[in-house]
Amino acid sequence: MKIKTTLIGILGAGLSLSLLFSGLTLKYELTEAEKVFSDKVNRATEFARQKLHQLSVTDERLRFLFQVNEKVSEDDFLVLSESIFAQSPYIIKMAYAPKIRLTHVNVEEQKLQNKGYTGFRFRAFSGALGIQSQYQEFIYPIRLIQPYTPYTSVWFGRDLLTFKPTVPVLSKLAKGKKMQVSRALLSEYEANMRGDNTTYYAFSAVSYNGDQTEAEPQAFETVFGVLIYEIDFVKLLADSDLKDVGREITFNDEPILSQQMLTKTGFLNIQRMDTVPFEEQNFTIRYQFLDPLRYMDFKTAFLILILGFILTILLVIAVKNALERQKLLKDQNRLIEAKVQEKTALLETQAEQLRLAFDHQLAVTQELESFSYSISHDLRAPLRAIGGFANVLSEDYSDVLDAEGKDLLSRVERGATKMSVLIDDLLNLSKITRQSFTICEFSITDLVNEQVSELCADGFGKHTHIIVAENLNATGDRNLVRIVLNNLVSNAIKYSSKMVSPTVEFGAFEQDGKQVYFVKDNGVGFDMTYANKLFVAFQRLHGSDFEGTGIGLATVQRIVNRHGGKIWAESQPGKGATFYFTLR
Amino acid sequence: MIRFFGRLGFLSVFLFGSLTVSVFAVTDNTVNRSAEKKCLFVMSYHKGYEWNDGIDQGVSEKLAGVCQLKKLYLDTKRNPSVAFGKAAGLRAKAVVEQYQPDVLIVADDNASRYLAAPFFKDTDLPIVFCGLNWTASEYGYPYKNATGMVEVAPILPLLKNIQRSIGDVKNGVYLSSDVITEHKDFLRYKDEYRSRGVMLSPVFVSTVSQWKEAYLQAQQADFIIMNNNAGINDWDKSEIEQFVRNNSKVLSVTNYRWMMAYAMLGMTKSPIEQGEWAGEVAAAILSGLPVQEIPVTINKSWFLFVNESLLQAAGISLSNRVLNHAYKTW
Repeated sequence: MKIKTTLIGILGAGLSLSLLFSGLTLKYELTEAEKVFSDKVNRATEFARQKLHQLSVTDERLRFLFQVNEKVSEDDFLVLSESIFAQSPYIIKMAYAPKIRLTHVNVEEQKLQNKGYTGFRFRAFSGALGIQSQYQEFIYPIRLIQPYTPYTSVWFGRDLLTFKPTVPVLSKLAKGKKMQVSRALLSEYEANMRGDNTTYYAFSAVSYNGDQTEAEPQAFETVFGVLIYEIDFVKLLADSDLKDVGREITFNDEPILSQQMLTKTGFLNIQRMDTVPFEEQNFTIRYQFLDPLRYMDFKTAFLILILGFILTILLVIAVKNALERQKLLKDQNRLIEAKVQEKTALLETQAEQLRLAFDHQLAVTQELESFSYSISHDLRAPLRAIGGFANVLSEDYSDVLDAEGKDLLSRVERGATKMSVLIDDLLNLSKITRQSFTICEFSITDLVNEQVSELCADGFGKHTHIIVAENLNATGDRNLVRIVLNNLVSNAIKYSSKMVSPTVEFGAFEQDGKQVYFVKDNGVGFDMTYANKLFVAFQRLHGSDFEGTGIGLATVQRIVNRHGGKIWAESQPGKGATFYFTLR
Repeated sequence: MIRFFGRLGFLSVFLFGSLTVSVFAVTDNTVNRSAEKKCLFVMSYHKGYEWNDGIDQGVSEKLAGVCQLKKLYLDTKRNPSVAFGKAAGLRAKAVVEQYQPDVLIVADDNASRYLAAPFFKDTDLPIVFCGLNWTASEYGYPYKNATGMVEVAPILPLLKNIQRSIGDVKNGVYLSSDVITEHKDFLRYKDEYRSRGVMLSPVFVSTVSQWKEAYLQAQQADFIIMNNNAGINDWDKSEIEQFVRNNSKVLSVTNYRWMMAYAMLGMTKSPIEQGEWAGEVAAAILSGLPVQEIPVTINKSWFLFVNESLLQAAGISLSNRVLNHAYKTW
């Protein structure tokens, strides 16, 4: 239950973190997309502002030209307008309406008729778009139009002062406004033909005194012409490379363009509204980012989400495994502890039994050794008496003994001597375990040489060639090792003494990281079948051929064992024998 | 069995559907054809006459795909008599009545004189005229049912280019065939030029020898306006070309495209412009624009030509401003 709760907690936290980081990434991407949108919109607005400025500049130059020349011919107007159309493709049409005093109207009409405009008359606008002119002294008939088509020719000679939509604009122009924009169509036919209501006209006054000011009343008197531009404000304001951005353009709160705006709301509803002033009037452009998702990189957020999910799942699995393993370990520990306690109790019981057995064995051994020592020691006195008295008898009463008596007596003496040696050896053997044990490093080469000297002092082994390896050291009890070497070297000399050229060699080599010493002879050797009897006390492989008590090798093994070493032998009958031993 | 009938049923539905669609398509096409507007284009002259062909080209281009266009030639250039003209007008009237056009286009003076004015003035048939010299009022225009383009010679633009070419000029010679149209034209030239301080002396001739003599005399003036040769019956192109090449010292100008073989500088009217305007107006009328809303207008574009070899022969060099804007000919 606890594990389940933990895992659910981890899972919840992991998923929440993944979602959080993924969300933060998306938020960042959204901010980046907003930047893109902002850049696009800035450029578009700046573009629109520049083009409106360009329109003002164009108008100013044109007005200046009309001011300077006063009368501009159709030819000149054609050239001018073509040049302006080329530079400002959003200007669709251009027209010029010069002021004509009513007293001159007939003359002007006649001039045009003479020129070829048969039946020409200046006319008022008619129909729904027409209005009675408020000015009695002059008219503003449209005289120059470009492009001149059957449709635009409809304007030709029409008095602007009778055009309902432009009258308020013209009165503003009279008050000194530079350029006025008005939604207007110059003919009802055009409105029907187009089926929309998006055309705007900009009107500009050409006056004698340049720009008028609002403070000057009746300034319209000085306006000698009105320039009219039909402007595609949609093209002007919206014809920029603006992908994925919807636009709504309004002019003085009247909608001009509604370009694919979304009705979506929420965090993806990225909008901005810019105002572009134009001759004291305002165009408002509302931008909406139509497809911000296209500008967002979802890969990172998705990757974070997926990785987060995967890591969470892995973490949950890992924690689950760890917790289960911990639980298992605890259970196992508990079991092991119980088993250990059980085994410990058993071992303690066994140890106690062993200790008791050891103590018992030790006591028995000590008792045996004590018994052996006592026997040996106690046997020496009567043996000395037997040997001593046999010797006295031999020395003092030899003359009274016949040959057989003498022989028997000598046999008693030899028996006593042999028994004395045997007892000494037994005493030595029993001493080995009780003797003090002092470990030190010493020259085993020197020790071997000493033993050889001692052994050979009375001519023993005088024909034997003895080889002792030089500069060999050993670590152990020097006195006990002396006994080992004495036994092994004397045995070697002894068992090779009957050979033609007896040779004994002492040396050493390394095996398995241990120093192995050896004493080798070329003597009689032995059958390896009996090798297991070599180190058993009183066991002799060669019987009476060679002197000995059969205690020596048993003593040697006991000393080697006491050093923690090992002793073994290799041999073949008639081919000598080699005894190996280690001390540690 | 079911499978077979299923397939048969599907096939039947498919065939029936295809037939229905085909019938509707044919019906629709028929309706469209019957709904197509009809235009009748009556030309004063004959096919192959350069001016006439230019107007024809303009009209045909603008009305292609707009209406079903029927063309009629009155052939009054080759048959200038009034009797022929009237007869041709009557024949054309019959065609109009039989064809029942939605708009009637009349090109050049005689089509208006013999057809539009006597038979269709102020009727319900919309009329578009073009190629009328200087004024349409001669044929009673404007009618409530007619509009069009008057053909005006570029008198002042020609003077401007003379001044741009050889500087200040005071007197010139107006050399032309002795026909009424040329006399009328001279009056317009004289008035316009006089108002700008340039005096024009007219010489109207009927034969080549008269023309040659007048041309030699005219070498004393500042420039020569070489107007239409139509009416000089013994006109020999190569002879006159050779003559002017050998006897030219002053700048000669013209308003007629074909006179550029003999004149050094030309500013000519465009028959195509006339035809295009008539075609555009006819299309506008067919689209619903009331004919009385479209004012009578005049031609607005001219072509500037220079005859380089003749200029070279006369040792006259024109300003770059003129040369750069001119078509080179001969």
